[in-house]
Amino acid sequence: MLAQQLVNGVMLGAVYALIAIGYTLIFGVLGMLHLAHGEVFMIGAFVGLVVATHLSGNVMLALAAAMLATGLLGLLIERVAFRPLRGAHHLAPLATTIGAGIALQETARWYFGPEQQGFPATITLTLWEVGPLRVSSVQVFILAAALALMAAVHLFLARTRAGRAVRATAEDPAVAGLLGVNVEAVILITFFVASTLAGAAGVLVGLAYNSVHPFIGVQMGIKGLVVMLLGGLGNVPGAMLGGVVLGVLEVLGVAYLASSYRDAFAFGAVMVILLWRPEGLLGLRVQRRD
Amino acid sequence: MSVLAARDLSVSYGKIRAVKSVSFAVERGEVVALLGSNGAGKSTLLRAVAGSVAPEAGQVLLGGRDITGWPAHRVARAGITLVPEGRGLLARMTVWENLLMGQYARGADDAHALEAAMDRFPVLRQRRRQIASTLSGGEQQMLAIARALVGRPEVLMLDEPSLGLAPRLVSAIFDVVAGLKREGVTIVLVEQNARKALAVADRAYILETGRVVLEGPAAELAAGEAVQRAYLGGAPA
Ligand SMILES: Nc1ncnc2c1ncn2[C@@H]1O[C@H](COP(=O)(O)OP(=O)(O)OP(=O)(O)O)[C@@H](O)[C@H]1O
Ligand SMILES: [Mg+2]
Repeated sequence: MLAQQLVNGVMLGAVYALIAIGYTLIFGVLGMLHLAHGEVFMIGAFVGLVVATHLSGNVMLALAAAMLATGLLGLLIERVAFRPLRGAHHLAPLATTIGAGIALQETARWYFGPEQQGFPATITLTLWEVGPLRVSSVQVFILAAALALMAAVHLFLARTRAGRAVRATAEDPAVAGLLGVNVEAVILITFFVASTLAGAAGVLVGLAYNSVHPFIGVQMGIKGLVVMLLGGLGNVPGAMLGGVVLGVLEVLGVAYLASSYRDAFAFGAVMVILLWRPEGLLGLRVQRRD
Repeated sequence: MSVLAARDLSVSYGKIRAVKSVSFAVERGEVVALLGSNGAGKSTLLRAVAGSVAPEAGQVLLGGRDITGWPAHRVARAGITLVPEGRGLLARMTVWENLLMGQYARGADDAHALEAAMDRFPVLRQRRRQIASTLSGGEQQMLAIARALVGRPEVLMLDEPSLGLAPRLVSAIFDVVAGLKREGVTIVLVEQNARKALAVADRAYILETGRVVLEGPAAELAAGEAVQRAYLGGAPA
């Protein structure tokens, strides 16, 4: 039974990781928090739902559409909530992004209504018995998609010119500029990539729970933040590891305590980990930037 | 025509006027030294040329083209590379990744230039997979210069490359500058070590509190009494 729970935990954790990577990329490049990132995730879920319901039952198409839409949404948020604050205090975007998040929630509520919407079953449900485990085709798809996206982000950052430019900017924007990196362009690339990951996570969560509503981004946004802190600020591999750790902690909480203590147990455990390692699991010492 | 020229360049940080109407010119293949005591405005002048700070007045010309006020990345792509004070390495990246970033402004990798840089500094070849922050100070300065060279800049600007290095390494850095000069690299060199800088430079400008107070052929300045007293610590030999 525990092994079964762990499978669920890893699947959930991979989705958290996708959201946390977005937070951490943006924090890395700007040193600022994007508190509407959970709402980007929510919009991704709804775009996936609309495409899957009305246009095509192909889940890959729903995923791609959600990613494209949220990527563009990310660019819009950068334009309205971050760019006007360039050079402002690093806490200033908290206000503008909370505002943007509320606007997105209310737009979704106005358009779709406040209640749960069923997410269409786009994947034929098959159950496989692997030893004592029962694994569904939906779970396999979610895990495979999340891992593939994480691998893609990793390769992008590690191996490509643009990815190196993102990392250089995260490390030192002034030096990156001297090396020929257009920092403004890097910021846009970062928002686009981060937001596509959140959009994909939205579709995957829709598939996992078969439902979405306009406020799913609130809790997911908090979890993404927690995972980022757990992994280490601005640290992409840390976000991946942190996501899985949180997912597993949650299912352990359900397994050994009660499902109503799920978040309390998981967040409590994260607090203990952070007391032990304030810089996060893979974090470096945090340098203050001005 | 000068490959690089500044005309009446002024730069302020808020109320602090760091550079006041400075003009200088660099011919192709020349090594030009900018000397002056702490706070004279040398780094600020280089930053203004590189586009890291915006000048409040004056012009920067690259090959006659007005590049005043261009953002740093455009200046870098146009062929001016600044190795800033403190080296500006990407400390979390490997030696190799730093070198690749040195070619970012060119838009394409140039394997030949990478090989040449590692031939010049064999220690970098050995350490190519190492994280830059784990290099010794001397190795870091070598990497900073190598990273600038792999981009094949029109003009290489070095801000105090010998700062904080042991005497043996200071000499090694000046040997590198002398070698680059023989190869025809155009260099603007900011240094505290005026004696060594004047020995390698063709011409020099002396700054005091943001103004050029003396300029001329390096050998003449080195022999002149004013410079001897102020920067070389003694009367002419
Ligand atoms: N970022 C900054 N903000 C405010 N003032 C600055 C800044 N950078 C430099 N200054 C001031 O501008 C003046 C010139 O500084 P600059 O760094 O250009 O001098 P420098 O000749 O390079 O000195 P050093 O030899 O110590 O490197 C100094 O008075 C310095 O305090
Ligand atoms: Mg200086």
